[in-house]
Amino acid sequence: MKDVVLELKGVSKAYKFEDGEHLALKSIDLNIYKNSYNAITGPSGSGKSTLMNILGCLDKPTAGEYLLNEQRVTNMSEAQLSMIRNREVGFVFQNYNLLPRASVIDNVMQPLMYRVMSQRQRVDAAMHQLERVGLAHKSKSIPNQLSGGQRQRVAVARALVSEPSILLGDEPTGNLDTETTWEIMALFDELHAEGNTIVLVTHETDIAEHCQRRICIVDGEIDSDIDVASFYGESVNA
Amino acid sequence: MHEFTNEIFQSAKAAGKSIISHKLRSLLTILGIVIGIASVIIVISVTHALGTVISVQLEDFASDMVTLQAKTPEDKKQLGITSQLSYDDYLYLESRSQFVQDMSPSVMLTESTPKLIYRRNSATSSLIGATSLYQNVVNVYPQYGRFINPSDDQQRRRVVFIGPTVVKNLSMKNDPVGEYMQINNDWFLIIGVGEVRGSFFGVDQDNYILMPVSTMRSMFGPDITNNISVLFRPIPGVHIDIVTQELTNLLRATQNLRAHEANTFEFVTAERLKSQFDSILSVVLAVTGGLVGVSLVVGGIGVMNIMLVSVTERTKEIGILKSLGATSRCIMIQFLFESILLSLVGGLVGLALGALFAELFSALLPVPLEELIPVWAIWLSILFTSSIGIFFGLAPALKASRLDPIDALRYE
Ligand SMILES: Nc1ncnc2c1ncn2[C@@H]1O[C@H](COP(=O)(O)OP(=O)(O)O)[C@@H](O)[C@H]1O
Ligand SMILES: [Mg+2]
Repeated sequence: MKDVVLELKGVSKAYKFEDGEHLALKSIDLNIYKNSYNAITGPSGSGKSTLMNILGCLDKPTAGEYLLNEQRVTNMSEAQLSMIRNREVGFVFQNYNLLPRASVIDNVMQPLMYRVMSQRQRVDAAMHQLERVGLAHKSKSIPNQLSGGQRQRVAVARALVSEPSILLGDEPTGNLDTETTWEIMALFDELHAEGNTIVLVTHETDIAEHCQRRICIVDGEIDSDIDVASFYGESVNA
Repeated sequence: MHEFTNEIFQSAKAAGKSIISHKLRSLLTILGIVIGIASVIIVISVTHALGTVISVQLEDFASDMVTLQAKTPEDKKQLGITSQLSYDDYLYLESRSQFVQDMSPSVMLTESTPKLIYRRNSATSSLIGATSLYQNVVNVYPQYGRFINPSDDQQRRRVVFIGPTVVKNLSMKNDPVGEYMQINNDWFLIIGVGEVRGSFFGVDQDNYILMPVSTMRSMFGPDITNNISVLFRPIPGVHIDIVTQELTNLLRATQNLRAHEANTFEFVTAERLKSQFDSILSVVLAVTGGLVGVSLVVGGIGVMNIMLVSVTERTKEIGILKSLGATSRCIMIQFLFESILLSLVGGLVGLALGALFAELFSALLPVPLEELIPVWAIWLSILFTSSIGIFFGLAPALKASRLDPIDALRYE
């Protein structure tokens, strides 16, 4: 049996307008397993980011159930959601979303600020992650002194610092050139090899090919769900 | 509980960092509060200083001395009648009063300024005719020589007791007792020099010449005592009201005033002077207090405005923090701290400016002050500015904390 980290049951998301609503996600059922490496692909506007925001507990579904490590996220209070965002999820955005006036180390430490621990421990944990992404020497810089690839490494270090159950990336290489894209993907590959559970959104097939499992979303619905391993006999959504 | 402490601590730290990283904006934000608090402190310290000076000086200058002087009632004024208090009135009171300890006439030369000459030097001063008891009522004590005594008065001796400023202005030696000086071409023997008394609201208290009232009458004619002041102090332990009542009754009787007629005289006490000053000061304090209060509210609205702008500007940042696990409460506390801190810094800068002004102002005062600014004023301004910070910071803080993480992250 594989351990389930994320579990979506009939999750829908409707955006309301003055005249009606737009169903961005249509009753999605999806399990993400521990230590798996997943790509979510699909055309622009198909609902990938909407799905990721729900997985990252930044947004709530309008229908259905979402369980993270067997905890029911739907119905959680604002404070509980903050706690989940802080401890269970590491989110990497396309546009990095670093704090512009804070140094690299302060950016990486930020999630630990909401936890009771000594400043020494925070610095140590942040430096450890910066070493992990190869940017320990830039710890005192501020984000706009770094290249795009370096900024995204900082963002990855920040996502990892809280030792989350799952690492989410919404088009993490979307703003990067080809060479840097491969560097960042190599980093994700390594992180997966080290045992992290990863879900990446991408619309590039080359990138999706890094992942074992490729989930394609079209128009708010799962269009295809292929686990490379299943070619050798294992089916995912049987 | 430990988590909450951490939250507070981290929020305060974040607030401090934000203020420091936006120095210019922070400065502009607090300007209103700086000006408001500086004016509060200036107004309070000036009124406080004046109050202190008034009470100290009134105490120094015969705290229980009462001045009796003529006062024309309104109805008589319209008829062109001017009330007078004569030398005879004084003599009558002197002989009849039971409750007065010491009483002296005080006759001032009002028509002209006496011309003083000593050797080749000349000067001017006030000239007062008095009796030996004047010394006890007004508290003028000799530095050199002696005061006017009863026999000087009886014999109409040509003697003067002079103030130290006269000694200085006429370039006399320090102790001129026994020397002669000229007043309006008549020669007088200097019998004593008074102690230095300083100045009372810029008026030199040491530029005087005292001579026996009888000498003055013989020199300028008896008309000089048609309208005089009478200075006295009550017997210790006797309430001032009892004495003034007694003297009022005596005076009304000797002046043949009828029941419906108003008094033609008034009593001026140090107490009354002080309460007049105090009531003027408290009106000044109330009016400026109101103005300053308005300016502080305007300052608070300034803080609120800039905080609201800053929340909008930092929407994205708030979104990032929320995505990393900041709770709404955390964001709220951070922004609240920021406005409290800003207001408080504004208050402290205002306090410093006000204190600087008070320091400069106190140098102009004739008496040293125990405290430049009353301690309560310092606490009041700290309390007031933090309240402004909380009150006007609430709306921006709520706005920030209620931002939806997704909307905030998408904000550009
Ligand atoms: N905040 C929103 N309000 C209204 N419609 C939205 C909002 N966010 C996304 N949508 C719509 O939902 C659909 C899915 O969007 P999104 O999840 O961003 O797609 P993708 O990331 O796959 O490009 C799109 O049609 C988009 O216009
Ligand atoms: Mg998207």
